[in-house]
Amino acid sequence: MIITDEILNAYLDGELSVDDIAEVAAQIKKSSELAKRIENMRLNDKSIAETYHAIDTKPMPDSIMEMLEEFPESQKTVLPFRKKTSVRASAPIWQMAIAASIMLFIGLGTGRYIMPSVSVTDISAGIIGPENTLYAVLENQPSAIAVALTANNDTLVIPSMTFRTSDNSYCREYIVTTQKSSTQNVACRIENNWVVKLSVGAQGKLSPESGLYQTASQTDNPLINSYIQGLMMDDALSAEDEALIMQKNWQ
Amino acid sequence: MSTEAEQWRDDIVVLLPRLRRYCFTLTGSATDADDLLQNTIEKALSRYHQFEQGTDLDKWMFRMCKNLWIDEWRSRRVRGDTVDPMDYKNEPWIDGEDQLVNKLKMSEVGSAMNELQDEQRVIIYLIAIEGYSYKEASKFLNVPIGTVMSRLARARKALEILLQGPEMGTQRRLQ
Repeated sequence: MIITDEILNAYLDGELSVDDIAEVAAQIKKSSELAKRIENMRLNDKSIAETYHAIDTKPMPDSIMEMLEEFPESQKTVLPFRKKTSVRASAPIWQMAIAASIMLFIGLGTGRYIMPSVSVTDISAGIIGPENTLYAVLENQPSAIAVALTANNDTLVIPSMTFRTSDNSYCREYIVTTQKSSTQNVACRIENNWVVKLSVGAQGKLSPESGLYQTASQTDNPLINSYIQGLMMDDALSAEDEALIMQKNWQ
Repeated sequence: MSTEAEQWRDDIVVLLPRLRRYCFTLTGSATDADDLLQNTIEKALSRYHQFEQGTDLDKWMFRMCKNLWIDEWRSRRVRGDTVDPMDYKNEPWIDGEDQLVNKLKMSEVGSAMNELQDEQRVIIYLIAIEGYSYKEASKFLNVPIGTVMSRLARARKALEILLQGPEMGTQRRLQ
């Protein structure tokens, strides 16, 4: 086989037949130049994906979310009549309760564990790998139990629900809050990493006086809920199912 | 139960993260990306009444986004704007403890991406950033799979040269 650039790319992207993959792999094994080239291409792809996924962790601008929230009322004068079609999946009651409880107070004394040597940088990465502190939280922390990530309690993570998507991956919604700001996030488990899919500003913040997490009087952002509903295949996992899938390392 | 309009709006919300990364790929700047995203959403919502059922919402939105960026780019050229789109020092969200990835790496990768032709940048966006299959990319771009492959090969080779040096990326044909 003549290995053209197209074939090398198709090999990298998993677009060749099984026989062709074996043949290209054999040639790569024989050629250090070819091996170096494919490694460079793989590294470039990884750097590009990380660079452009980094924007996922920047909260979505409020102006965009507001514009969407106000629709369709904002366009009422031009909307034609259309019939209703969709039925949405709903989260189980226990998760509804969590959403409500987040609006109140969550004491750090319950279910808290402190992770040593944590920087806030760790919780911002677009692709959250095993080296990242947030990875351990998403892997192991049951929903509805707040986790303080820093010894001085200035960063708090609250996983709020776990669900499965139509392509059979698992995703979790979680809130990261500091004394300055708060974000509501969705991350999905892809190839043994957690990948942040969406991050929007949330209303809550840490109360420095009490050490408690508080939100304003507003409920969860309806648009992140819509986003989750669009991803969910079934209802969100029950507490028991969530514990089970954690035990099975999300397989 | 939501109305059809709300469902359509929710479909856009699901699309937001991908659309935002597309804006970031086109503009090379997170700030410009969010401006472009805002303009795209605003235009899309105002044209809801023109959206025909059965139209591929992804393609409709992405095309609108790209056209808006082309308009903006032309207008900047007319104004003589010379801001380096890959100057990450101008990104207020990448600072101090909030830094997401190494600035130098972002800058290098961003600058290299910025050197690519538009069609090459888009194919890299589809395959390397969003993980589309060749078939999906072909459908998205309305071009044959062979075109996807050759365009991707040229784009990746250009990136190799820009990121690893000119000795890489020279085409090799091995028997």
